[in-house]
Amino acid sequence: MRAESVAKFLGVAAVVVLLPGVYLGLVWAPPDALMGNVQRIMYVHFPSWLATGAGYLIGFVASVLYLTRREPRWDWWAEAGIEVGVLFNCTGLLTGSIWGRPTWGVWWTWDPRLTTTAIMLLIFAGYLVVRAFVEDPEARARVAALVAIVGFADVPIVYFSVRWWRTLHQPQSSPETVDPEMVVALRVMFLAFLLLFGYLATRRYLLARTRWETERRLLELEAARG
Amino acid sequence: MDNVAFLAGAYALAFVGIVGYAWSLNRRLRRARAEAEALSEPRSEQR
Repeated sequence: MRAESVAKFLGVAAVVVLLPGVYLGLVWAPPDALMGNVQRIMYVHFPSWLATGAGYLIGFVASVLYLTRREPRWDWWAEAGIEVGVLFNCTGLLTGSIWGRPTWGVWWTWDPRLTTTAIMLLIFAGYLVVRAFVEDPEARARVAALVAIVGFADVPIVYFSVRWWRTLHQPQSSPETVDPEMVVALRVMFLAFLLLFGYLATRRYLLARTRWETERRLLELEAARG
Repeated sequence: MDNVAFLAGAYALAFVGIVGYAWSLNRRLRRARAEAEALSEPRSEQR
């Protein structure tokens, strides 16, 4: 029941922070001098990547812990983190594509940042597919953990791609180079998306735990029938 | 004016996606709990 209470708290907190965050981003913060109002997409685009990173990092750490300790709860956390990470990876890519059309003139380009990000989405969507195809719970958790650990190698490549290669995508901004009001709006949205991520990941963890308990009970019943 | 449509589209897509996922997650969790409860019922009857 503890995870349930944490999820409820995170859900309420996410809504409480998200509402003023959206107001700050859409109304209060000034428009960009060059891009105008369309730059306000940043307040959902950038926090989406923060939540994606959080999800994949949890997936990676929990997978390492599963392989070393073999406790099912780490597998539940890995699955939860990665599935919610995939959701935010999709919102990040979609909002980026919509932002790219009026600013770069294209919906998509095979730029190193965009390409490595698309590969990252495919890797972690593949993780979810692998889980769906392995029936034995222990084998599933083991194989999935390996996929998550190997797949996580793409995450730092995505982060550093804008520094390592010449790309259309801008490198990471620093708060010193951005209007202070934009920084405030962005930080509030960061917090809102992290809370939102926490709410969804905790609910997803509860789902994984419930399914695992059902699977275990079914195995017990099968064994009892002989 | 066009740019505002892009802005609205980006916010709408992001939040529809997140809310849609949250809704589907709640439904899956409810179903999984009902399934778990149904499995535990025969055991309590046996006792």
